[in-house]
Amino acid sequence: MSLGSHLARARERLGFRQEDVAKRLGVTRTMVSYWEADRRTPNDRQVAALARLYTVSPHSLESGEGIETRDEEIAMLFRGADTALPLGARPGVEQFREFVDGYSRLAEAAGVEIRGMLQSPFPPVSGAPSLDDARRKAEEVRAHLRAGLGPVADLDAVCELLGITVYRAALGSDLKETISGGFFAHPTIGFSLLVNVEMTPGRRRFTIAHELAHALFHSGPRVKFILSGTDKNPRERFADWFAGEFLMPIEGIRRVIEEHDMGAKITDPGSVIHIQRYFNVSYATALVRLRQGKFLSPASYEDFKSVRPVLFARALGYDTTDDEYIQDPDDWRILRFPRRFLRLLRTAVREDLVSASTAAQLTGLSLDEITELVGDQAFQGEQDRRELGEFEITGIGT
Amino acid sequence: MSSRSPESEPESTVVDTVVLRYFLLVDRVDILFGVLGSPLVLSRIVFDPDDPRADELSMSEIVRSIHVQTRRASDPTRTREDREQARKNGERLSTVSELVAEGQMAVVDMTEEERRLFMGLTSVRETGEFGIRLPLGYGEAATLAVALGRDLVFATDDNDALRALDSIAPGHPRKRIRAILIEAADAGIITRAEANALHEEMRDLGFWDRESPFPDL
Repeated sequence: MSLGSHLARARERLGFRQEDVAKRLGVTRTMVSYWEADRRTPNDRQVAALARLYTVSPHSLESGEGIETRDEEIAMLFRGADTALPLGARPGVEQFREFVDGYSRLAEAAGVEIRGMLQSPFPPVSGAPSLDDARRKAEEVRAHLRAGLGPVADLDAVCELLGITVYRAALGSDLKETISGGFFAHPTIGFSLLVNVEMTPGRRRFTIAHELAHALFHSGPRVKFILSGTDKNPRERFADWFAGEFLMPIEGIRRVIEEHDMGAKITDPGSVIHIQRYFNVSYATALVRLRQGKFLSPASYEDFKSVRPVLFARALGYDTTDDEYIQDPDDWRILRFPRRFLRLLRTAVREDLVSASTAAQLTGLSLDEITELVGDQAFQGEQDRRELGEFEITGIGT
Repeated sequence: MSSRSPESEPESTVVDTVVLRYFLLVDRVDILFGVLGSPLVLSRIVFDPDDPRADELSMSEIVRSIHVQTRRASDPTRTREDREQARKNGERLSTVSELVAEGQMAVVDMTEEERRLFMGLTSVRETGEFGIRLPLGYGEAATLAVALGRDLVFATDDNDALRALDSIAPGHPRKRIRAILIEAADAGIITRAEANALHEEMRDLGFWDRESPFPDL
């Protein structure tokens, strides 16, 4: 087997076409086909770029080792998944796998034990649970977090409190075809969630809550990986219901409606927007939850679907962000990593446990971004170190 | 790898991304030529004059830095001072193209033998053999491979790369930024005060070395 055949295998594995690779590297499609036919050899920069693009080491490209193994690993992981992994999501899922492995290696190099969640504190849910079951489970989790009935402002912080890692990657923008996220039980990092950044902010939050349901209620010795796509089997339906209940408890909605004298039934979409913004969820989630809570008539539910929620919110005086209109994966760069990982990375570089260039290699970030992160004075070294090994439930307010 | 007798000092130097980047950023790359001679050797992963500047992931490391700084220069979420600094950084980094065109820097691709070492230095499985905890960055690994393959001085300030160098060839000549500034002052290219000032400027730009070239000054 030659470099060319390894390049072809690594490309096909992630579902890239030769045209895609050519565009990313700034060469012609013919050149990519020449490389794969061993008629030309990529230069050093191109080899480095191909390794990054295919999420393998240059050594794997040269030797072929690791490409097949990785394929087998992925196939094994997804065997139990309810949803087939769409080709367009493969690079993002690979990045996720690479990230959790890299996180584990970094922690080992820094001598830090990641005390992530390896087993859920809640009993598993199986069979075909009802909406009421999901509500009770959401209440249990809120009680565990001492979160009361109000909005959960920072879901990443909730996950961090629980010892759950959240990573973001581009998984495709056509949500009918791709997945919104995934759950993975890593043997050392613990429960890890993947979120598609090519969704609106409300959908991303919903996905975190949805994957949280998988982590807390569906994980187990035989369930290591779950992908969340459009397939609505009982497990996925439960996770959806849980997410809705967790983000917008019916009692919390009732309290807001009473406090703002919105009446027994909501009759205007402006009130939906106010409630949506209060709970920081998508407009679609707010509509569904209001209908489930019988605060909205079926006719109003249908009628309000046609509202353009971001424009309407702006008209009502809410600050909106560009991210609500259009989602650019490039905006996520350093933000796709969990804060806890970034604190570890910063400490490791500051304490010379790894160099800045190594950190850049590990994360795929530029040296410029790493030096900015390391120079960030927002966290002091001692505080970073103290926080690195700790996970504890302290409550997130009411 | 080429063999070198302990007495002989290599005549040329291969420079990694970190060293090149900081001397470009303080606009004093002339110090590198004064101390290390010219042409300085660069790996194509560090800087590629033929870089088509397509996707960021495919860029050579200095070109990627230029790209990141240029983006920051027009990022409305940053302060005006940050944007101005980024614009200046991008401009200064861009001067590398002229230096290569003028022949003061020579860009090289790795030989087969050098590539083999590069593969080992960037492989998760083999890092333990080189005394490092995690795979090296591609630019550092390529620069180290070229330094050893062609018996060149290894100019770096990357501690992981230096750990790897020590495990492979402990006596191989290397140059760190602080040492280059000290030599420049000793050779009269700059004053000691200027050496300290440049080092401080580099630190303001993110360089991690905490000790000044002349701490007693």
